[in-house]
This record gives sequence, C-alpha cells and structure tokens, in this order.
Amino acid sequence: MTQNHLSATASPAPLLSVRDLSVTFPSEAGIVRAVQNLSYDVHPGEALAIVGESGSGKSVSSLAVMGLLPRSASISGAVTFAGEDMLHRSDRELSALRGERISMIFQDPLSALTPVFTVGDQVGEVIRIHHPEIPQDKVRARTLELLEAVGIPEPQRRAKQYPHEFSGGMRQRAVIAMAIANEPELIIADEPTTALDVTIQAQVMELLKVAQDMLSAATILITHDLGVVAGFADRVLVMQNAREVESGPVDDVFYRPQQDYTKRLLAAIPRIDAPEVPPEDLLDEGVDIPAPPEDSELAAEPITAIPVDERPVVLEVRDLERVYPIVKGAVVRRKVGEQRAVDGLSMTIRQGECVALVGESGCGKTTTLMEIMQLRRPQGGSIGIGGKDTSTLTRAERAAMRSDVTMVFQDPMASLDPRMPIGDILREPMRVQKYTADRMDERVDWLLRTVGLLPEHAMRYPTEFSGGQRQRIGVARALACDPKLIVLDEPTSALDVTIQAGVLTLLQELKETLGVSYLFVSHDLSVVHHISDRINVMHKGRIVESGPTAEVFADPQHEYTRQLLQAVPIPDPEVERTRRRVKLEESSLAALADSA
Amino acid sequence: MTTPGDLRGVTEAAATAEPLVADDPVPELDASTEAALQAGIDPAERIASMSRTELLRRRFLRNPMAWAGMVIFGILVVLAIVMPMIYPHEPYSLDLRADVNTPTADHWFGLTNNGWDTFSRCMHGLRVSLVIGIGTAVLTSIIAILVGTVAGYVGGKGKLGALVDSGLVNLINLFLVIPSLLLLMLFGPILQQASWLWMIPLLAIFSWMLTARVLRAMTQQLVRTEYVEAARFMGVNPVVIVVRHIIPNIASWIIIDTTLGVSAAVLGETGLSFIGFGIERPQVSLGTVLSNYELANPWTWVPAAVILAALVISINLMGEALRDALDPTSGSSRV
Amino acid sequence: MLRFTLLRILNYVLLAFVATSITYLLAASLMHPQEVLYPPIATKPVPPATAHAYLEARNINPDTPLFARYARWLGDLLHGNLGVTSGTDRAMTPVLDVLAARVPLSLRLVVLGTLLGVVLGIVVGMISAVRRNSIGDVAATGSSFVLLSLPTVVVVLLVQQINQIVINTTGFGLPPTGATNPALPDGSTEQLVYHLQALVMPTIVLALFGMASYSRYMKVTTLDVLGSDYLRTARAKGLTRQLAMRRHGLRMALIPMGQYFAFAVGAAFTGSLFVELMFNWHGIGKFTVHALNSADVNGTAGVVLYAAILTLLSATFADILQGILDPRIR
Repeated sequence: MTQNHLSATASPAPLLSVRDLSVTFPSEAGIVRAVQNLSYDVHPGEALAIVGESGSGKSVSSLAVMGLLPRSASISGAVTFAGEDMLHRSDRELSALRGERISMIFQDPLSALTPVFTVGDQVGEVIRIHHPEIPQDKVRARTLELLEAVGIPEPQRRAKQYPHEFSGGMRQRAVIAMAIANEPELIIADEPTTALDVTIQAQVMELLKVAQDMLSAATILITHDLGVVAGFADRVLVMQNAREVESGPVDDVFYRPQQDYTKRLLAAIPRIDAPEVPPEDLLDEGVDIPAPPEDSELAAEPITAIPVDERPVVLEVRDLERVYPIVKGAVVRRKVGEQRAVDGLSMTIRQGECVALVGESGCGKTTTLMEIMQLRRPQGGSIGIGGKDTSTLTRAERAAMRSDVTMVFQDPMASLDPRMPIGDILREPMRVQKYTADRMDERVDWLLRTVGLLPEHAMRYPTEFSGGQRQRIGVARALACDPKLIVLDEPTSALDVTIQAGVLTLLQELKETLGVSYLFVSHDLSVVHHISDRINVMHKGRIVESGPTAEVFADPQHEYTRQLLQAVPIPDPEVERTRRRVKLEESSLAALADSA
Repeated sequence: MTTPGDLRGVTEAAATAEPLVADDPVPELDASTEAALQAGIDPAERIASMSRTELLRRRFLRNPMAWAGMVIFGILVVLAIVMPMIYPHEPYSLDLRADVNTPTADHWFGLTNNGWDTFSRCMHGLRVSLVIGIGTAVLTSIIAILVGTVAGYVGGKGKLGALVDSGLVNLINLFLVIPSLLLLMLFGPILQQASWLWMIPLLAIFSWMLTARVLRAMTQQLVRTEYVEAARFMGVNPVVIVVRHIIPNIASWIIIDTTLGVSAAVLGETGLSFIGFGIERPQVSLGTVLSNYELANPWTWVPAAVILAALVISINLMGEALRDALDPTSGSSRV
Repeated sequence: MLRFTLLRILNYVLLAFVATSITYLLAASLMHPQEVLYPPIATKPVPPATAHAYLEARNINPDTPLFARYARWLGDLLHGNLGVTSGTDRAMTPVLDVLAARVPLSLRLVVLGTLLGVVLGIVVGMISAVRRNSIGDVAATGSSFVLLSLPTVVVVLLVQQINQIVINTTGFGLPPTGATNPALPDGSTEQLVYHLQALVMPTIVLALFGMASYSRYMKVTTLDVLGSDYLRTARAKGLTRQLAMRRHGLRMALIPMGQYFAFAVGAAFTGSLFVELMFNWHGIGKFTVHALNSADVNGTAGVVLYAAILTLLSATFADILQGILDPRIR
C-alpha cells in the first residue's frame, strides 16, 4: 500500500530516499528498536509530514538522515540524498551537506541556541562555515536580511543580543533563519512548534510555509499534531511503535484513512469547528462509574435538577489582583516597576459547572490558580469558596477547606511521588482530613474503580503506569475527599492525543454522574470546547471575554479571542487551505514582523 | 586536598543532582541518546515496571567494581576487629631486644626506629580510622540533611523563609571560607584530652557544607515539583512533607554521599594526625603511623599507606558503583 | 555589572572579615601563650611587672577581657599592623614581616601547582569525555580515582621515595628537601638553579592533585555539554563533531568550572601545608603548624587573614571569569 502511494506522486528522481531504515539503541533491558523498516521518498519542493505520538520513532528517523544520532545507535537500510548515499559517509563529508543542502529545525528553541554567543553570530556562522570566501561585512548584511525575513523586528539591535534575551517564538524564528540561510534543498523540521503558544505556532508555521515556497525546498515536518499537518503537508506518513502505519497524500489520509490507528488518531483530536463531535479514543470503552461510598457527598441528581443560575456558588472570585514588584539590586533592593500578573479578575463557578479559563503562557492563569489554591487573603480582591471568604478563615477551617478545593496537575509524571505506592498517594489527602483506616480503604477501592483502574493497583508505584493512567490517578486523588471544586491545570497538555481523549471523556463522565465542578485551565481552546459550560478568555492578567462556550465559539466578541480561534489548527486539509489563503492575503512576511 | 569533603560534593552537584531529582521515567537510557527516549518502547517499559530500589540493587551487584570494593572493605573490617585481639604486640610497647627493623616472624611489618611494632600500629590505626570515618560520615550527613532540607524548603516560603534560607546559605559560605584545617588544628589537641572520639564531631563540623549545598539545591527542585505542591494544597504539614516526600527522593544520593564521606573523613583524619593535631597517644591512627616515616626504611610507611589506600579505594569503589547504578550517565566515575 | 561585582566583592570581604574574627576569638580563648611564664616552661619565677609587660606587648594578657584584646588587634589591623608573634618561643617578630618573608615562597608553590593542575585537568577531562571509554579515558579516570583516594602525605612520600631510589642508584636526583641550599650564597645562579630544582617535586604533587580533581569536574561538565541541544544545532549547521565541540562546547563546559576554581585555592592552601611540611619549605604552611604548636595567637590570626584574602581573591577572579564567559550573568 505504501509503495502505491509513493509512486502515485513520484516524479522520476526523489530528492531524499529512505529505504528499509532501522535504528536500534542498546539499553539496560536489551535493544530498543527505535525505527523499524521505514521507507519513504521526498521529492523536490514537496512537503512530507511524519506524524506519530511520543515513542513512535519519528524524530529518530530524521536524525538518522542527518547523521546526528549518537554513536551508540546502530543503523541499517539505505538513505540516499540527491542520489548519494548518506549512511556510510564520514562526519566531515556529512558536515559539508548539513546546513548547506539539508538543514534542520529542532523542537525546543530554548535550548537549541548556544547561550554564550549572540544570535547574529550564530546565524552568520552557518554562512561562514560553508562559504568562508564571503567577506565579513557581506555575511553581516546577509544575517540582518535573514533576521528581517523571518520577522525579527529591529534586526540591527536584535542580532547583537544573546538567546536568553529572545522569547521562545523569536528564538524559533532565529533557528529558522539559520535553516534557510544557505537556501537548502531539504528542510527537516522536528516538532518546530510544540513548545510554543498557539498564536505563535500559527505564525511560525506560516513562516515555514512561506520560506518553503520561497526556496522551493522540500520539507519534512515531524509532528504529533495532525492539525498542523493539515494545513502544511502534501503527503503524510503516520508512524506508531517505530513502524509506518499508513502513508499517502494528505487528503487521502485525512478523509479516507485505511488503518485503525489513523482513524483513532483522527477521532481523538478535539475540534473547534465541529461542536457535535467530542474527541474520543476509539479503543477506550469509557468507564462505568461505580456508586460512591455511602458517606460521600458526591451525587449528580439533586444538582442537575436545579437550573444552573439557582445552584449554590462554589467559587466566587472578585477583582482578584496579584502584582509582582520588579526589583533590582542584590543587597539594596529597590522597586523599578511592577508586573500586574492578575489585574482585577472576577469569575463565578456554580455547583456542577465546568468553567474554562483559557489563555496563553504568561497571561496570568497559573497565578490566578495559585491564588485560589493558597486559600489565603489575596493581595487585592476576594476569593470565596462555598460562600466563605478565604481571608476570614481560621487555621482549622482552612485545613478543612483543603479537601473542598483540589487540583489535578499538568504533568502526570511529576505530580505523583515516585516513592509512594498509589494507595498511599490516594490516602494522603484523607489522612490530613483524619479519615479512619477502614473508610480510607473503602475509598481507595472506589476511587481506583471510578477512574478505570483496578483496586489491586493500590500496591503499585507510579512508574508502573502509563502517562494516561497516572493522570487518572491524579484525578482520583483530587476526588478523594468529596471536593466541591476541582481545579484542572492543563490536565491533558502533556498527554498524547489519543490518551488525552480518554482523560477528557473520564472528566466529562465524572461531572455528569458525580456533579463535581471544574475550573479547567488550558491554553488550548479546542480542548475545553466540549467539556466546559462557560469560557473565560484571559489576556495580560484580565478576562477579555467570557460567556457560554457555544456563544464564544460561534461569535467571539474580543479581538484576542478571534486571534486565538483563528490560530487553532483544524485537522481538515480542505478547511485549512481556505483558512490559510485568507491569512496569506492578510500577512506578508513584513506583516508577520509587526505582529511579533 | 586531604580536607574532608573536598573530594566529593562539587562533582556530585554537577553529576547527580539533576538526573536524580528529575524523576526520569526511563532513567536507564543514556542521556546523550535522548532520541532513544522517544523510542522508549518495550524494553524501557519492562524496566519502568521494576522498582527503583530493585533496579539499583541489580545494577550495583552486576558491577565488578562494587564487588571488589565490598570484598576489600570486608577483609579490612575483619582485620581491624580480629588482629588487635590476637597479635601479641601493642602499638606503643617497645621491643628493645629486636636487632633488625625489617619484618620478622615476630614483628610482621618490622619496627620503627624507636622500637614500635608497625603491624600492631597499623591494625589499631585501621580500627580507629574506620570508627572515625564511618562516624564522621554519618554525622556529616545528618547535619547536611538538616541544614540542606530546611534551607531548601523554607527558601521559597515568604519573607521569613527567604531570610532563614539566606542565613543558612551564608553560614555554609562562612564555613567554606574559614580555613577548616586551621580550626581543626586548633580544636583537635584540646578535645583530644577528653576523648579521641571527639574527632568525629570535630571533623563533621567542618565537612558538611558542600553536601548541604547540594541537598539544598535538590530540595529546592523537589519543592517545585507538582507532587510536593499537591501535598501542600492538601494541607499536609511541612515537616511531614519533608520526611515523607523529600527525604525519600534524595535518599539514594545521601547514601552515596555518606559512603564517599567515609573515605573523605579517613583522609582528613589521616592528614590531621600526620601533622600531629589529630589522634594522639595512647591511640594510634594510620596518620600517626605515617608520621613516623623513615625514607631509609620504607617498611615504616608503605604498609600504612597501602592499608589506607586499600581502605579509601574500596569505599570509593562502592560509592562510585552505587552512583553508577543510580545514574549511569554520570561518567565521572568510570574507572 | 559593575554594581553586581562590587556587591559580590563586598560580600566576600565581609565573609573574610567574619572568618578571621571568629578564628582570632577562638584562638585567643583556646590558646594559652602565657604558659611560657610559668612552670614547667619557665624555670624560675618571672617578676609580675615583667610578666605584665611581656603579655601586654604581645596583646595576650589573659586579664584583659577577650573582646578588649580583639578590639586592640582590630585597631592595629586597621593601621596595617598584625601584631607580633606571641608564642611560647619568646621572639617578638612582627607577624607582617613573617608573612612578607614567607608568602612569596608559598604563593609560588600554590599558584604554579594550581595553574598547572587546572590546565592539565581541563585538557585531560575534556579528552576523557569526548573519547569516552577509550584507553586514554580509562587510564586518566582510573589514575585520578586512585590519586584522589590517597592522602597528600602518601603521594609526597611516594614522590620522595622514588627520588631517593633514583639518588641511591644513579647518584643524581632532585634536592630531597628544602627550598634553598643554605650552603650556597643567596642570589647566586647556583642558588637559583637549586631553587628551581627544589620546586619540581612539590609542584608535581600539587599539580597531580589539581589535575585529578579538575579532570573529573571537567569530564562531567563536558559530558553535559555533549548531550546538549545547542551542540546538535551546531552540528546541524555543518560543523564537524570536533569543530562544534571546540567552538560551542568548550566555552559552555568551562562556565561551571569557574565555580570550582573558587575552592581550588583553599584546597591548594591545605595541600601546600603538607607539602611545605614534608619538603621542609619555610613557607606559610610550616609557619601555620609552628604558630599553632607554639600557641601563637597573633600568628594564627595572621595566617587566617592570609588564607581568607587568598580565597577572596580567587572567588572574585572566578566571578570575573564567569562573567566573561557567560553573557547571561552579565
């Protein structure tokens, strides 16, 4: 099937041809097969997307092409670039190609640049390495040109700055400038936007597309995000567990997926353009939530019977403020300014409701969350939980309230103590609330079954579980003491898309059967689309728009909300193509510079 | 150079702190092959399902260096216990009848110029060195844990916490600036008059700083982890958090550091005793044996040096093997 | 940057001051230099007036409150006067003169040994990391492991014994002990040659220890750099492995080394103490032992001041070095 698709679009000579590529690493427990029997072609000017979840081997395969794998890797198969073999060449020979004819863009712009050299020097270096004959001032002029082309404002000044003075998006632009400096024939972009905010992601993808068109270079885009692929690639190759699952023209893969895995992947993506289809993991059968223990206060019926407006208020935030002074000086500290992280934020959550707080990094959503979780008097404004103002609490009341407001964290790897068995982790909040041992045992049982795990898992340690299972344990811990409100801090952003779908389904079911309330914090509008009742969009410490989910999506009022919605990639090639056309008309490279 | 704590600490800060705290799901893959992490499929999962302690134990026992260290150390401990009991001569008993200084059937390692039996002195010295080494290392770790975890934990907690933290950090710096050898030389002879065991707290007081610094950094990282934050949001008492969440997560590092601390303390005590400010009569240590060296008669110092080297090397071998088991990426220890 | 550096230096000065003060107070309260006036040291009774004058001149009168003595010492210090040696050997040499006479000798040893050790350590450590598990790496790492497991005195003894054996067999060798030959006239060429020869063994010992510990640090930091993203980027740009390491990696690996350097001088001070003692060099280290043995309060305080200033200078130097290497902390 693979070969058919390949030959369908094949012009006589592919630029890059990978045949039967396998990569293995030695490891503690034997040999890790990172890539197995992978074959693909890339033709001049073509954009190929390699899609897969973490551990699928997608990055390893392209590092193998570049010859950048560590020495411990053993590689077999054949890689030919422009008719020449790539696997059996010396480092020196490959170096002559790298940066000149093939260039690469890496995932994490924060660590991809050497911290001790200026950005200008590092961009210029690519030219100097391959064209030592070009005089210094020409190199410098070309560097500034490149920086300007990728949308870095004031290139004169910025070129003299160091990477740490650049934001993440800016650094990725600089990395792209390095990648296009010598007008390569092939650009390999390895998750170029994963570490970036959604609006920045849109800009960077746009830049990549423009750069590709300009140089008519072939591109390999490696990503886990099918949404990004839809607007970018000509062909798609889906990988799972080191092997190819399916490949073909982008429309075929999206509209007529052949393999179950591809179908699952597509079904799991939350979409902002299709309100009626929630994301789902086709393998996940969902969980039958068992009846809570008798002493539990969790139950949905009495709550869902009451109209939302008349239900008791769980969380009430009024004019919340949090200002950080910006201080300078080591011994004599003086205030040189202030950063208004949260600037007069108000919101209300009623019982059984899910309210989303959406915004990009640095907008103050995490600060808001921390202020709520502290259960103390905020710097400005007030926080009320279950009708009680947090500033008036006694020590004992505050301790009791800790069980009313619980939290699910972003990173399931980091939020469970690796030294504790799951049972102890779940008992910890109950122990603080002085539950009896019997009651704790009963609850642990129920909690594990509720989130789709088995009671006998209580003896095991977190490392024995997958990311999705760990996040379920995190949810179980948050449920342990009949919370009134669960604060979800980006609960799915560290998970693969199919697993994310399963966790979202679980959260949805919990809400429906147990009547818990959520404050769902996320940077991603599409994730909260199906689960939240109301949405608050946050920008620069303020809520710029709030309203029922359907209304906000259908008719965004604020400019920033519109930008956010527009930036969310849609896993539909047809739709993306029309969207992109609109965007392209609006923005040339120069306009990109302004928006940054 | 022979200052206790000099040999370790700083390296570890760079080598072990990071990978340990960041609880890597697949810690056994080479860091430079991070690409392999992405490919962490079957074998990696198989490992992940093994408990960390079990993994540590298996890796440790597989390392021949660890075995070498354990065997040598075991022999030395047995010698230190048994030999002083069965060997006829005492460290300070004079044998004026012997007419040669080189080894004889009666004096296994020969005699010094002033008629002291070297073998007996070595064995008694080994005993003292072992007690002081282990005692100092344990005490050092206790002080370091107290200062390090407290400073690391309170650092991020409000103005008062920051104040306590900076106070403790300055205390650490102060102890680092004070020439510890000098103060050891000042206190050593005075405390010796009471008991030679005073050597233990004395050495410990001047060797906890680097460990405390590393522990503080590790605690700071752990405090920022989500599971500690989760415990705080549950209302768990700070002391309970430190005992239940933080110390278990740095325990393996502490064990390694304590192991290497034994050898550092032995070296420190040796140096001090050598220049006459450490163990004094009627006790002997390997340092005092060395201080009676005669270049004309290598038998006076070579046995003590060899025993000392064997002791320190065996401990370091075990410590480094432990570290390798814990963090295979730290190449510092590859022998 | 300037402000920051000044504050750092101020902090170091403060630390050095506190360290010296503490040592002075401890030494003054723990040592009993007045014992020289009483039996068993003194053979006949000393008249009280003489005793008083003796104690006052040295600022060691136990009847004067501790803090008053400290205040006097501090006042003298501000005038650049470190007092006089006050130990059981009744000589009354100004401490400053003793230091002035001995510091150059010790400093020569410390600076030479440290510098050599650092440079060699960096080279060896980097090669070890880049050529990991090669024969050279195994040899270098193994020998520094063994070396760091030995006390300084044993290494000194080994070096001396080897020299002794060489002398015994060939009749030629390095001067076994002493920095200068008292038989030769000062300032003569022969004396200079002798001194240079005498420097060899002590410097070897110090440099060996420096190299052993620095190569370990350097190997660790280099391995960190080798796994870094920016090095991969540099190679993706078209730099060969070696060039990428030289242009991007070396400087990054050196940054954390700056921190270790601050401690290096302290370690070298301790090391030089053993070396001076065993090679019979009349430097600060030997004076330290003498001062402590003879209950010389002012002498001990003087040595601590010297050590503190040394640490202070090396820490400042390390900071400046780091500032040059790393734009992020500028």
